[in-house]
Amino acid sequence: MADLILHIGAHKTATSFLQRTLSLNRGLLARHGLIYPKIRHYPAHHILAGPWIDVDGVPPAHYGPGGPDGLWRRFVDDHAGLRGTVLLSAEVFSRAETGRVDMADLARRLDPFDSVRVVYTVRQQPAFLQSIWLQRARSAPVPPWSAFYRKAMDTGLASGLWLDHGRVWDLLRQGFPPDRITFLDYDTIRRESGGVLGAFLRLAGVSLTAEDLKPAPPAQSNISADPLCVLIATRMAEPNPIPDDLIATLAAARPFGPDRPTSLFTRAEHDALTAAHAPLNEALEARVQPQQPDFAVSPPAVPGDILWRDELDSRHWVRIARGLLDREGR
Amino acid sequence: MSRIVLHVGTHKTATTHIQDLFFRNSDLLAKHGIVYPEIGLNRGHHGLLGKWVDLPAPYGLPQADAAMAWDAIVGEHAVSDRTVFLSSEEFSRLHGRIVDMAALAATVAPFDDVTVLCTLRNQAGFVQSVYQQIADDRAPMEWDAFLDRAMQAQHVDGLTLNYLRLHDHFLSGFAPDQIRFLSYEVASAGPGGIVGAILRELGAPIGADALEPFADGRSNVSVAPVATLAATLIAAPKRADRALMQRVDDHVRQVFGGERTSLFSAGEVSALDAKYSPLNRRLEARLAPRQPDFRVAPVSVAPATVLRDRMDEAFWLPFCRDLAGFA
Repeated sequence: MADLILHIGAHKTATSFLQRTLSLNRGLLARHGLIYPKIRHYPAHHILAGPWIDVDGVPPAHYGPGGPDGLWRRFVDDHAGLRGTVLLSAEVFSRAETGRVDMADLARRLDPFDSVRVVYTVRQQPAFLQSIWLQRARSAPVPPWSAFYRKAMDTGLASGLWLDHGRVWDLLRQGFPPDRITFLDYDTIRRESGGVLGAFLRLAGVSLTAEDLKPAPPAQSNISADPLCVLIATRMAEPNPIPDDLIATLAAARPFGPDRPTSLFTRAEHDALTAAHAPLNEALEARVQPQQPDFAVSPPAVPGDILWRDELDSRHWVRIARGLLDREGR
Repeated sequence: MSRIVLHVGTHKTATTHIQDLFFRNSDLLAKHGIVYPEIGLNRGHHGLLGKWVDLPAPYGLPQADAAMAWDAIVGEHAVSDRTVFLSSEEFSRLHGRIVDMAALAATVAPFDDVTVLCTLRNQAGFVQSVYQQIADDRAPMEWDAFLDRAMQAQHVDGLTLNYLRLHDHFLSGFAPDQIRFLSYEVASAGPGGIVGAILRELGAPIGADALEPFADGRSNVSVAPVATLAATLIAAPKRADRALMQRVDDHVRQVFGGERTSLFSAGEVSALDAKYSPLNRRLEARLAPRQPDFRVAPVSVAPATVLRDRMDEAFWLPFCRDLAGFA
C-alpha cells in the first residue's frame, strides 16, 4: 500500500516551481519510488480540491464521469495500492476563502493509503503578504497596496489566504492528528541543501538530490520582479493591465541602484505587520514543536540597504523617466 | 561734464535684456544725451574686454580692435556733456577671464565722472538662474555637485557669490565713491523695473515705458526651474534638448499651475542663507556712507514658491504615465 504526502502550500513558497519540476521528472522519481500523479495536463493537483472548492481554471468536463467525486474514486483506486510514496501538491487546499476544504472529508477519502502526511510551508508574514500582492498585480485589477495591507491587518486575510499560519494548523486538525502534519519554514528550507526541492525529496525519502532532477524552465508569471517597479508599473497603468514590457523597462532603468532590494511596505507598515504576527507565530511554534522540535517561523530578515516605499524620491523617479523616454524612442 | 557708467553685471540680473533694449533705442537715448555705442557684433559691449582678455567669438574683439574702440569712445565723448553707458557683465567675472580693474580705470579716467554700476541678486536666485542658463546651453553638472561648489568655492561657473570679494576687486582700480550697487530684487519691483532703475542711475529724463521693446520683450526666458532640473536630470549625461525641456515644463505648469518653482530644497536655501547673509551684511556696512539704503535682498527664493521637495509622486507619476503612453 502506498504512503501519501499532501503538500498544501502555502502559496508563494515556491509551490509552482516544485510542481513543475516534479512534473518534468515523473519518470525518474517513479524509478526511485516517488509517484507524482498526472491528472490530465495539470502540473499540480488543484483539481482534487473540486469536491469543496470551485477551482479556478478547471472546467467541469475535466473531472470526467462522476464529477469531482468520481475523479477522487479513480485517483484512490489507481494509487492507493501502489508501492512507494504518492506526492500530491496543490496550495489551493490551504485556502480560507472562498470555499474551504473539509479536512475531515479529505482524511476519509485518503484512508485507503497506508499513511497520510500533510505538509505546509509557512513564510514570514511581510514577505508572504508582499508576494501575494505582487502575484495579483500581474493581472488587473489589483487593489491598491495600501488598501490591501489595511485589509490584511484588519481581517488577517489576503486574497482569501490566512496570514496567521496557525489557522491552517487549526483547519488541518479537523481531519488529521498532529503527528500527521508537517510544517516547514520557507526561509529555512531555502537555505538547506537543494533548497525547497531538496527539502521535499528528503521528506519523501527519495534517494535523489535536487541536482539529479531536470530543471523546469521558469514560468514568466512567477519570476520575481522588483516590488517597487511592479508597484509603480501598476500605478502607471491602472486601471489597465500592466503592459508586458513595462516592468522590464522600469527594471532596466535600475532606478534604485544596482541590486538594491526594495519593499512595498513602509518601515512602519512592515514593523506593524511583524509585531502583530509575532505572538501568533510563537503560538504556532508551541503547537508544532512537540512533533517537530526544531520548527520555528523565521522572522523577517530585512536587508540593511532596503528601500522602503516611502523613501522613493526624485532621484528614483528621474531614472524611471529616463528609462521610459528610452523606451519611447525605440 | 562728461560721464561714463560701466554697467558691469552681474550675470543673471537682466543684463542681456538691458543691452538689447538700449541697443534698440540707442537713437532715442542719444537724443537725451546718453550714448550707447555699437561695439563689435553684439548688442552688449563684451568686445571692449578684448583690450585685456580674450573672449570667444562672437563676443570678443581682437586686442587692437578693442583698443581702437576704447580710444574712439574716450576721444569722442570724454570732453562732452554726454553720458556714455557701457554694459558687459563679463567685467565682473572674478574667475577665469579677469579684467584688470586698475587698467580699466586708467582707460576711462579722462571722463569727468566715472561710475562702476553693479546689480546684485540674492545668492539663491543667482545660483538657480546660473544653473538654468547652463542647462539651456549645455549639460550641467549634477545639482548636488553644483550647489556644493557654490558653498565651498563661493562661485558657480566662474561667477562669484562673495559680493564682498567682488567689491574688493572693483576697489583695486576704482575709488569707493565711483562704485554703486543696485539690488536686483528692489530694482525689478520698482517703477519701470530694472530698466527704469538703470535709466534713473543715468539721470535719463525718460522712463522705461518710453523705450521700444526688443523683439518679444524678453531676451533670455527660461522654463520653470523645476522643469529645468527635472529635464536636466532625466537627460543626463546628455544635454536636455528643448523638446524635453518644454515637455517637462508643460507638465510642471499643469501640476503647479501658476506657482513659481525652485530648484532648491528648503534645507539648501537655509544653508545658502547661513553662508552668504553675513557677507552681504558686511558689504552693506561698507557701502553705508555712500549708499545708506542699499541692501542685498534676503538669501531666499520668492515667497509661495514650490520647492524641490514637492517633486514627489504626485508630480512624477502623471509625467511617467504620459511617457508610458497611458495619459
